Amino acid sequence: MSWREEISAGLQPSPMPPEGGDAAQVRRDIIDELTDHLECAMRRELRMTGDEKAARRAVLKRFGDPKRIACRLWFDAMKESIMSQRISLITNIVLAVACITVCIVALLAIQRNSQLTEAMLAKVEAMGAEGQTSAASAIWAEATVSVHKGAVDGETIEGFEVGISGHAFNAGEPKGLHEFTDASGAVSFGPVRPGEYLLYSESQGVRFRRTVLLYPGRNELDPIVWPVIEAKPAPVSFELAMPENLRQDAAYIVCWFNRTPHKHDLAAGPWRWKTVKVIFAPDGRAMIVGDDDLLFTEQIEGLVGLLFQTLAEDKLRFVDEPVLDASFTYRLKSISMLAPLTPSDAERGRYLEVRAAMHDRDGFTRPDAGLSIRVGERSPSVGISLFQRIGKAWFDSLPDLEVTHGSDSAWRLEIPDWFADLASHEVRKYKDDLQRYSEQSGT
Amino acid sequence: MDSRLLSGTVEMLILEVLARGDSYGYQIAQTVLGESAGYFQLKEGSLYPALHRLQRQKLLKAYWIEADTSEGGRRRKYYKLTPKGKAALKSKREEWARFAAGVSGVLGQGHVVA
Repeated sequence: MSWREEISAGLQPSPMPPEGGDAAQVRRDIIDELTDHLECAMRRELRMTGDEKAARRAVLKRFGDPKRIACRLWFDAMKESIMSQRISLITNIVLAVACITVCIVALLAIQRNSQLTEAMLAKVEAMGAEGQTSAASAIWAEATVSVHKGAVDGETIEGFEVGISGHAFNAGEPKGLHEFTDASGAVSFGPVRPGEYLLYSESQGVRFRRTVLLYPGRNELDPIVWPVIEAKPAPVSFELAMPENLRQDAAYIVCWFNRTPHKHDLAAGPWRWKTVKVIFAPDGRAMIVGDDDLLFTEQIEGLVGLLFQTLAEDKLRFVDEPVLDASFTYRLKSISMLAPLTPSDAERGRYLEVRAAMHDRDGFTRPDAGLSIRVGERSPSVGISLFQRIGKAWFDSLPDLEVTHGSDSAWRLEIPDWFADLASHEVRKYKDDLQRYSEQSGT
Repeated sequence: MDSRLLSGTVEMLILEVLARGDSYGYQIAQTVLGESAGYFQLKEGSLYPALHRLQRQKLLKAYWIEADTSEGGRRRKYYKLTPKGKAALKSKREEWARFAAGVSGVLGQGHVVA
């Protein structure tokens, strides 16, 4: 075996080439270097001994084991590369593990964040629901009011109807509610939008009105004290002095009265009037009309915009001695004349209305309001300023009708000339217009 | 000789031999072992790990020369000192001088006392 073969036997091919070089080249360099040394040593020993075997033994004795030396040199050469590769491998493994760990941590963090987000969303929704509940109580109002008889500390009234109506502060849709007092005499409204409302009630011909402001939350309103009124019936005699010119027109006269309780019957509260109508027939007989409205507005063809009143004459019940509720004051608010324009109108109960009405005679609102004069739904055909001034003075001069139980009440009305002249003028004018329309249309 | 002392000493001897001129493994071994008069009792092969270690440390630089045809046409690896090797040799010489002086001083004093 040559030296080269013996050295090569100690070097197995490397599974991993050295970094930046060729493992085979390193292996060849080692073999060449050691072979050169052994060859030199062999020549030296041969010169000394002349025996090849003895020379070979001497060479090996002085050199050592060539395979072991070659193997060590190979290992030393490869060690750095192997260590470098191992370090690189370990580094890659560590990096991979780190990346996987980071990914796992990130995934767990995302899952955790997702859970936290869901929890927060649930909490926000819950808070939102609570907020809505709070907001609801903050944006709605409830009102409670009690009803007493005669005085604030008087007996409460059960089953008393009370209503509110009005607008929210932000001018929403008008709201109206009716409720009845419970056993404790109290009634509650709501929830409604905070705003300005009218608290009202009506009983025994008396109206209660009070403007209230409802604020968010619960509102305890001042109690309603209902007056103790003994509304006993009392006969009233009416007398109407009908001017001749109106008598010829077969006209009805309708008087509107505002009825208010006597002041000594009012314990508290802003009481308002209730309207009572008295209808006088052409023959002067009177009829009191309560809630039943016997007048119906009608549009007549050919007289555009001129409304007529239809009087349900079949329902009229004129009596010799009308009866009004006592303990009330009756104040004339308006007066109307209902005159038929044609004989057929009279048969059908269809009348042109000329009305003079005082506004806000009760004095609770618009005390400066004056007199309005209407013919149908139109203004009179003549100038009305003079009529308004004279008419207002006439209304103001009229005494109220005080109806008290146990005493006779009488009321006499003389139709003033200004109203009779105005009404007669308007009736004649529309009679002429209707006549011309009939002639033009050939009817 | 103690192997711990031998390791650093052989490297210094190799550097010292190459400080005289470029040489190859067999020649270096002959010079080191010959001039040490057999003191180190080293195997010739044991010099090669030291040579390769010094090469990896950049203290030596190697190059190959085709040997004479009379020697079979082999390649021969020569070593030469690098500047870094020369500096290292200088440092080792100074260190050895201090070591030898220190050892000699101690041994000499101890010898007097004894």
